[in-house]
Amino acid sequence: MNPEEKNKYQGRLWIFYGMLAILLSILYSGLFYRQLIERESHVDQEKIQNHRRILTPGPRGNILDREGRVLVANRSKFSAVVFLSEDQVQKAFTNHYRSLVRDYREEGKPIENYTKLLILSRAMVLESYLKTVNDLLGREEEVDANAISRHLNLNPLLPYPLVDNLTQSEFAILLESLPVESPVQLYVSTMRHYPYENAVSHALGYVGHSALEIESNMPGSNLKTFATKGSYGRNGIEKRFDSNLQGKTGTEIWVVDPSGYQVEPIQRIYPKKGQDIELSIDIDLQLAGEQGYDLYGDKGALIAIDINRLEILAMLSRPDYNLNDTAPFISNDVFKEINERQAWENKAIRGLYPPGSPFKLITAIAALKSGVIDDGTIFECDGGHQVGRRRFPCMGHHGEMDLRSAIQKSCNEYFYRAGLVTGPDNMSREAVYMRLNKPTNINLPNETARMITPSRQWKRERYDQPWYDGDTANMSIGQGFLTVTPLQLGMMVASIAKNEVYSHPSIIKQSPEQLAVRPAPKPLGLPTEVHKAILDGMDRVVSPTGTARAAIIEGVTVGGKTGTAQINKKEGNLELAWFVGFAPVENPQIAIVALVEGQNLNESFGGGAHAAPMARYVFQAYFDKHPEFKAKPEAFQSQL
Amino acid sequence: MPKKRLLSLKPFLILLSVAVFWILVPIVFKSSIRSVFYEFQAPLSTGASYVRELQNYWAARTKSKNELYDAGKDLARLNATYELMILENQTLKQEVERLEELLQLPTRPDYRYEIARVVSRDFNSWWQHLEIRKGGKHGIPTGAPVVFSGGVVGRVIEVHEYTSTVELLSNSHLRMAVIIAGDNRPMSYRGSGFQTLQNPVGIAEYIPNDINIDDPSNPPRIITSGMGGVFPAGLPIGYLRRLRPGASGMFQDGDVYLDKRLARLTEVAVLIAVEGNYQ
Amino acid sequence: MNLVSRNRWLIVTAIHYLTLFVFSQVNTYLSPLGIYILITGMLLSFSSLALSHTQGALSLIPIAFYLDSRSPLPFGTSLIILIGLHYLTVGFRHQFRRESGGISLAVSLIANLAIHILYTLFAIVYLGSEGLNSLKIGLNLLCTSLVITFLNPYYISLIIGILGLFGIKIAQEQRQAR
Repeated sequence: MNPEEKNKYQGRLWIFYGMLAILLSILYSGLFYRQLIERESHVDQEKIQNHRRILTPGPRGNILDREGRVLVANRSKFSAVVFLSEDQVQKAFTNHYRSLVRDYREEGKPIENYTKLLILSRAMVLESYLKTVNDLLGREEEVDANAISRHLNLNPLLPYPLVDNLTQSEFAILLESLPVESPVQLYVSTMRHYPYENAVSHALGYVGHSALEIESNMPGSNLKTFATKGSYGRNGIEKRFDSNLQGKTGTEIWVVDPSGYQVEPIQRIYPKKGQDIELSIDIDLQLAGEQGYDLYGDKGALIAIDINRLEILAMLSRPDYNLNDTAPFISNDVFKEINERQAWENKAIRGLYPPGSPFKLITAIAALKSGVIDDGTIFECDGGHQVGRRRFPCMGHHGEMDLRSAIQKSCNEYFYRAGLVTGPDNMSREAVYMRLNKPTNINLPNETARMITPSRQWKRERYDQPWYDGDTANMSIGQGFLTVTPLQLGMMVASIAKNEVYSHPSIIKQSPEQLAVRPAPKPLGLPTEVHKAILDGMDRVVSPTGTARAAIIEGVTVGGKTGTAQINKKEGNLELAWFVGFAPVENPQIAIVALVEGQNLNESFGGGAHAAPMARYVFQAYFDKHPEFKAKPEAFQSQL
Repeated sequence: MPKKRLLSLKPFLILLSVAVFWILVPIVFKSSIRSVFYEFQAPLSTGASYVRELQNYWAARTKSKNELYDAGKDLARLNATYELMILENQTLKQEVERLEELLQLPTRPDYRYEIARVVSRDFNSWWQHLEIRKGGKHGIPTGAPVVFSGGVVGRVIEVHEYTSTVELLSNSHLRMAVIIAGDNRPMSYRGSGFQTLQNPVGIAEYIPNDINIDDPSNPPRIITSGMGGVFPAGLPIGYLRRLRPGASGMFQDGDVYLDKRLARLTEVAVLIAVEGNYQ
Repeated sequence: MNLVSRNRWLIVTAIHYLTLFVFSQVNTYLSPLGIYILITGMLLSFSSLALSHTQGALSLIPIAFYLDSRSPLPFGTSLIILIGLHYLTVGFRHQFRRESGGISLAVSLIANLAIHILYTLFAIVYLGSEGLNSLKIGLNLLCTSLVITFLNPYYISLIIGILGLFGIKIAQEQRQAR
């Protein structure tokens, strides 16, 4: 080859080298890009394929009473479980399946459905595990073959329960008798436990189980996730403060094999218990109320309020239910049974009733504030008052009545007359001022807002009718269109006791900081002397000659008002017995409202006989715990 | 050349065939070899333990008369105390039986004690076993609880003709239901080896959240619950130290410090249920 | 080769067994201190370096069975470990002067390390890792290594001496083999 030709070929060779270099550089830069720049996404992709996330909800926080006693706690629920995706269990499944297939073939039986055979072999393996457990515990549990397959398809990484709800001794027996490496393992989960069973059932509420709500900031959010069901508040405190009570979900990230079965954990964050909540409820007072109710009533409500802190000390609604029946879940039978007894409803905040005689206090306040009467005004009671063509009855012939004695004797005629001279507008305005037309805004869910404080305009809009004097007479004694909740009446009596208007009671114990920033109450607007006259009348109600003598507490001055209201039904009247009261009169600390619904139509029912005695139980329990508010014995003697 | 290469591979081929052979050998064959090898060397170990005792005997013989006299006096004093305690125990036992009858509580299993000398202590980094000088011939069953004056020692895991192997409380394969003295909620106990060279430890799980170690100098005492049916109730296990949140979020886990004397036991008692069977 | 020479593994096994027995007694005395001496690496070193691969394996098999009969690990674990390490040593022994004391000690120490690691791995699989304490394993490994370092030369010469009593001249055979 001459030098020219050599140069020519050399040139072509360089071109070839150049092309090769370009091709190689493209190849390497591609590789570089894939391996180094896109590495993260490849790693992520691999993770998504190879990793699984298991989420376990954290236990809910406890609910305590105002003295730290546990009202709602978590109880451990021990189960004997099998992790179906564990290596030894999977091996057992495979071996059993193979031996089944072999047996079929040896016996010359045709195998029509291999899947069925697989399901059968799984069931037989679990049956052998269950037999060990049954033998140790003396139980007769059985395996559900379809449930195993369902579990394997849906939640292969979650434990499959062989025996649920082990007792403490069963747990101990399995712990000592099962070898540590046994495929049957002991597993603990939580369920709600209510040491006081029915007490405070409506206010506490219950929990239900549903798919776990997964927060986006939890690790492994892009991984396939298996989660145990979470428990969520469905009613009462459990619902209202669900976010506080909710525990912190625990996360486990596992490497899985190509079949999706767990190989090893690579990350574990333990679940954490939720925050405890301290209620304002005093379980001693609650139990006293329950005891009183057991003796004097079947249906109704009772509420005790700390007047100075505006905290609920006891809240009871009957019929009630045993909260332990709602855990770990509400069975159909339990739901039906509670439903039939109409026991789901918290009558304290959802029950709407005519207020009856306790409303007379509002009538009196409206009359006094509008100046149509004063505390010395006297009306003659002759057993009833004629309004138009209808005579409105009084329960007795009381004769001359002033404000104090009218409250003491609950004289209807006094209040008919006072109401008529005051007029519906003033009465209605006063009731609205006392917030009887609005929910109290207690920190509990589902408080009704359907209460009625009637007015001329309301009647026209609702019934397209004018307001009659008869409506005024009815309203003045708390009957007619008026409806309130027991809690509203409780707040009303607390307000009257302190000559201020309160709202927003709390069932959560308030910290000093929370109390300090509470909005200032509105003044009730009664001059001290006039206010004193009302309190005096209420004090006389709870005296040996008053209608609520059953609520007398030794050493304490109790002010109150009884009432008997009627609910008109087609078949007849159903009577309601009310008692509202507070104590001590000179330094009010606690207000109580008690309501008992009559059971039978046209049955005579009275606040003094039925509602006041149950309030006495609560008053007694309160003053036993707070003797500092009791008057000294000599002071009490002088009062008598 | 290829032949030479093949020859150099010969050892590995033999190793491979031994491994394959061993995998294919039936379990019965393996367990009989195991048993034969154990029983073959057992007399030598047992003999050594007798020699050790003989050494102790001769060591005791070298003591002066005064020393022996003093020891005898101490022993007499101890015996008198023990006799008193026996009387007291009998009265208490009768009282307990009477109360149990009144409350109609189920009868508790009765145990007989089989005292056994320790032949050897095999406490390595991976497991802790004791070999004791009583076996199947003395009625020792597998699974029987083993105790000493300080509480639980462990559980019999293997019974041979004249000896038995006891799994010590610190073994991770030993699991039992325990309680904190004065509390009746069962918890799980599992051995976790030796924390330092000389401190046997265990792990307690499912400790209720209200349990605290308020006074580290007087930590909660862990005892057997008796609920599991293997160990009788009330036998000391150890003391609870260092609590930490458990996996469920509902309970705590804690370290259990066991009795240091477990590492130098020379004599133990095997509890044999009078009418019981062990798993 | 005469009968005794053909069955030299039996003599070695007996010496190995007696050594293990003595150390089991030592371990019983050491247990209150939390120390455990496992000298199997030293036994393996002699069997793998001084004997033919078959004789070495035969001398180790009964020892492995003895160890396995007292262990909670699956029966055969020590067998697999010892025979595996033996053949690994046999495979490499032509690379160095195996009659040298230093090599023998090095093999003992490496085998000792390997045995500790393998036992730990088997224990993790079959007994769980909860009962394992790395500090204790490390300290026992250290103590064992110190004991082996001290005893290895004496042990080798003891076996060679005892075999010599039976007319088996190991050193001479090794020289001839080279």
